[in-house]
Amino acid sequence: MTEQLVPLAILFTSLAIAPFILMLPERAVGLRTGINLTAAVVKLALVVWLTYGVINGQTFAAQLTVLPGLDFILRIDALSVLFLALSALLWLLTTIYAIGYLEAGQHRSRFFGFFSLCVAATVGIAMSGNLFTFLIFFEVLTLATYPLVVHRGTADALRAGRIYLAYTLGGGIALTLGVVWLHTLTGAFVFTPQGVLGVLPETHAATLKVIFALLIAGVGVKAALVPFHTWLPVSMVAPAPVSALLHAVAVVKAGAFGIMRIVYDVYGVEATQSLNLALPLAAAAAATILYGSFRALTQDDLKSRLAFSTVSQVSYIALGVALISPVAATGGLVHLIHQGIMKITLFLCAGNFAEGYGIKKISQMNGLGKLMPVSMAFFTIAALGMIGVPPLAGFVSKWYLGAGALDAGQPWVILILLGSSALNAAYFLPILYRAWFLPVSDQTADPVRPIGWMLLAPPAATAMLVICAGIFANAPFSPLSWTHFIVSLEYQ
Amino acid sequence: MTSLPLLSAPAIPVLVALLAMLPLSRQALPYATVLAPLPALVLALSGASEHAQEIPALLLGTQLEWDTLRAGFLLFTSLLWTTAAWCAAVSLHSDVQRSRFCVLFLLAMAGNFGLILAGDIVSFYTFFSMMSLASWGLVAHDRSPFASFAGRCYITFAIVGELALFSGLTLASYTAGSLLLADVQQTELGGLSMILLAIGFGIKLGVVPLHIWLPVAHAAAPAPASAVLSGAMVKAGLFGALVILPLGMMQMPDAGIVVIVLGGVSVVLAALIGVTQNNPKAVLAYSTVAQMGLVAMALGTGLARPETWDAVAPALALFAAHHAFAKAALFLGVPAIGSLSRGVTRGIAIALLALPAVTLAAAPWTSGTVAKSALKDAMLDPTGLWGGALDPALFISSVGTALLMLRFLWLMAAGTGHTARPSAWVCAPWGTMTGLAMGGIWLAPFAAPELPVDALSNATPILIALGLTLGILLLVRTFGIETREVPAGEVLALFRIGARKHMRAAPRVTQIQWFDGLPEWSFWKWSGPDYSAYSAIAVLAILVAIIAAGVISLPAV
Repeated sequence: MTEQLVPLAILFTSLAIAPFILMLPERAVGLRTGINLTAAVVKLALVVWLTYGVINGQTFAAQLTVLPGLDFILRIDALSVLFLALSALLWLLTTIYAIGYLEAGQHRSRFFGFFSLCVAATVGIAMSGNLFTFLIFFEVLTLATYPLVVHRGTADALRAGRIYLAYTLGGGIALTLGVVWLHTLTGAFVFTPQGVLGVLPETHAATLKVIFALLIAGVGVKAALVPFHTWLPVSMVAPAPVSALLHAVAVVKAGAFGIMRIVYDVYGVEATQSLNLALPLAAAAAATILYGSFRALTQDDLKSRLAFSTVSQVSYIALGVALISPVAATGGLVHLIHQGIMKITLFLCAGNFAEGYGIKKISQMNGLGKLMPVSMAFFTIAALGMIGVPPLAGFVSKWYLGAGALDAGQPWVILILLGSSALNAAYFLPILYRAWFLPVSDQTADPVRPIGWMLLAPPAATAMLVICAGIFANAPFSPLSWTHFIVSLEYQ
Repeated sequence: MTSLPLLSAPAIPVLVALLAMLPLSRQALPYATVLAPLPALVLALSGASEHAQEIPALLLGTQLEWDTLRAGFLLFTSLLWTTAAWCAAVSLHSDVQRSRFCVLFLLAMAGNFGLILAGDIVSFYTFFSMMSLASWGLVAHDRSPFASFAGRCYITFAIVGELALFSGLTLASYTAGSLLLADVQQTELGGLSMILLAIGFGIKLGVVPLHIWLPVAHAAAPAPASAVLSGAMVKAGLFGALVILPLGMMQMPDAGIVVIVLGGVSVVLAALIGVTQNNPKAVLAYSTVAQMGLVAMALGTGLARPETWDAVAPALALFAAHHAFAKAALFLGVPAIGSLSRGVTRGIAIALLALPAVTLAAAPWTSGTVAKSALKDAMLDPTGLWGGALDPALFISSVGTALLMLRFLWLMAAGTGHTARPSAWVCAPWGTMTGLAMGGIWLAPFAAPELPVDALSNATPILIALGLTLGILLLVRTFGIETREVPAGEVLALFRIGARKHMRAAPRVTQIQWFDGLPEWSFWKWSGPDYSAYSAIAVLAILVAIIAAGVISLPAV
């Protein structure tokens, strides 16, 4: 019984509270905060319990037949746990941050309502047991995020919202087409390690290639694969906690997670390779990695530099998946977590800079280390992690990707990693230099508002995770150890 | 023995750095910094026997190792860091940024200790990067245009070195199928990984042509930082080569000759450019380049003739210890002399400063002559690699070092290059270091070296250098020849000239002065023409080209 209830409970902790929060009056701060935090804590507890169960070989699944042959399936495997743990933990932290951030803001009920809906869709994606369920949650995510992107209601925000919708709905159409087409070939199926295609690659090679392209294009929009990435830097007009969630957990990660599901559990490693689909995907990821980093160099707006950095870093995941090698897969999968904790730290700190001193541009950041030493210290940790400086989380990803490239017989990938690291250094180190070594400029010397614990504790926690995920990479229950476990299932 | 003592050497400095987070401890931080290297020092002196410790949960499975080589390196490294921290506590007493300095100093220290103890590739690379990146803040510490320029040069090279090392180590561990240094060292590595590792370690060692950051960075850093940069941290490049490269395993005659030639060029070039410097610390930095050229020559010998390696390796370690002590004493002497007003005391101090200088120049009956003869004896091999060229090469190197030391003493006596006067207490760590420079190498756990019999012959290069100096002085004075400084970092000056063209309508290209009004140009902004950034990109492009060439020529792995 619990096997069926737990996935539903995880979904409903955020899904069920969304309408409640939406209906709450604006001034009911205490109640709203209470509901939000309780739901987030309960969900985290459920995910921890579930992880324990999965380790002990329990299977969690809930099924509902919508139409004959079309099932709504929530099913939890090791890969789901990876994404669930990330979203449950970071949702709690982002909620705390958002409560502090929006202390005096407007439309908070609307904000938190859709915020919950957004997370519900994300955990739904994580728990989807087949492509149909995945597709539903994927589209819900698109719609639930829109009100968050346009939250401020300014002309810029509305424009960003339109671009966001145009891209993601377009991606949704491609994904739907691909899913339907694939179903006509295979019939109903659930996600299965090593794929579900069977003998089809021999008989329908060309069709499967087109379907693969459609599916990857569909999820690639959310994963911000070049050339579908434009919406992501534009959407950074959203409030800081939304950007943080968008970049670290919800939208781009849903896309990256989709790529994993399609390659591992729909096509399977073998078919992906025999259909010659791996190399084009790796090339697209490599191009995105370099392109994003190059664009990040020239951005003076802090959030838009971080956004282009996301474009680049999320493709590490796709790259790791596309290099058909267990070692590279470990690097890619673990980066799902590592990029999440690093990027959320950066965005939360960027939010603090904007709130604390009204600093939004990198050219205004001189001497910020003196003004906001704590936030800047967290930012520094995460930025160094992004560059791949050991012993931080990003290094572990990079090391496995590099070793995986050799393992897969694709040594050119190391050049991509080197180039990306050099570019990362070129756009992050100047920020650190400005903040810690240059004198404070006069215009920025006056604080706008004090930064309370609610704005400091979440980045503190994630920065600690960035350090621990690297230093204790080999410890049991580290993201790396869990990834080893998943990869051992996919590559048998 | 439990795993605590080995891990404590790098862990304690990190923990002390974390102390800086507590506002109350800010005042105590400089003093805590002096105590932080003590666990490493105790470990180095403990005479613990060879052993390895595994800490599987750390990083990708950490292994720390302990043997004679590591004991020797840790001994001089921890002595240097302790003394330099003492000097920093005194000389940076009134520096408003001293907390930042101390934190970065501690992190660099932890990295330096850690990389010596590392027994696996990942922890070695971790500690190596930690040291390199933290030192960026030491180089760029002063709020002067020169320091910020030096910082940019330093970090550009440091990042390129990191990337080369990362890819080299990934390749090496893949080839070896193991993360343990001991396994990698037993593996025949491919040419590509050897080249990448050589670039990574060569940048740290400052071997020509990868040296151009070194004279700038070592001259710009505050004196205690320069002492550890030049004394301890450059040796990380040597140590890396000793524990990772399959020296004594693989015979690579061509590569060996290339490294020997580059080392030889370093020796000559550094001496020639170094003597023109007006900043005493830049002279010392060039002397480091020259001495590391000698180290490269020894490494090249090991590559070309693996059978000599068993003799060369311990001699190199001894030489590294000797250079560390002497160079640190010289750097710490800069603020010490600067703290004294003109008079008898200062005269005595300059005479004392000559002690580590003549040691470095391997004057008779000094520890320098012991170290240098040991290295020379080890490099001489019966197979005739050198064909009689070793003696003249070493002779030239000795003359060069003596010239540099004379130039340094001259500049110190003339009293240039120092403005702020620190407390006279900085003389205490300097005195300690001078003592170590005279006798420190006998503390090292290597076979106790003896003074060579024909010690007196070592005086010849010094006498020749003296004669040359007097002759040049006479010429310059008699004919009124105008002398000019070659800018530290040589080719970097091209970028400076370019930058000036960009900044000013009429650049005065002929006069390149480092210290006056360096324009605040915009490496960090990436707006407008930006020559230093281009240099970084150019270096990266070369690196990429090398790797690409290697990838193409790589046999199917």
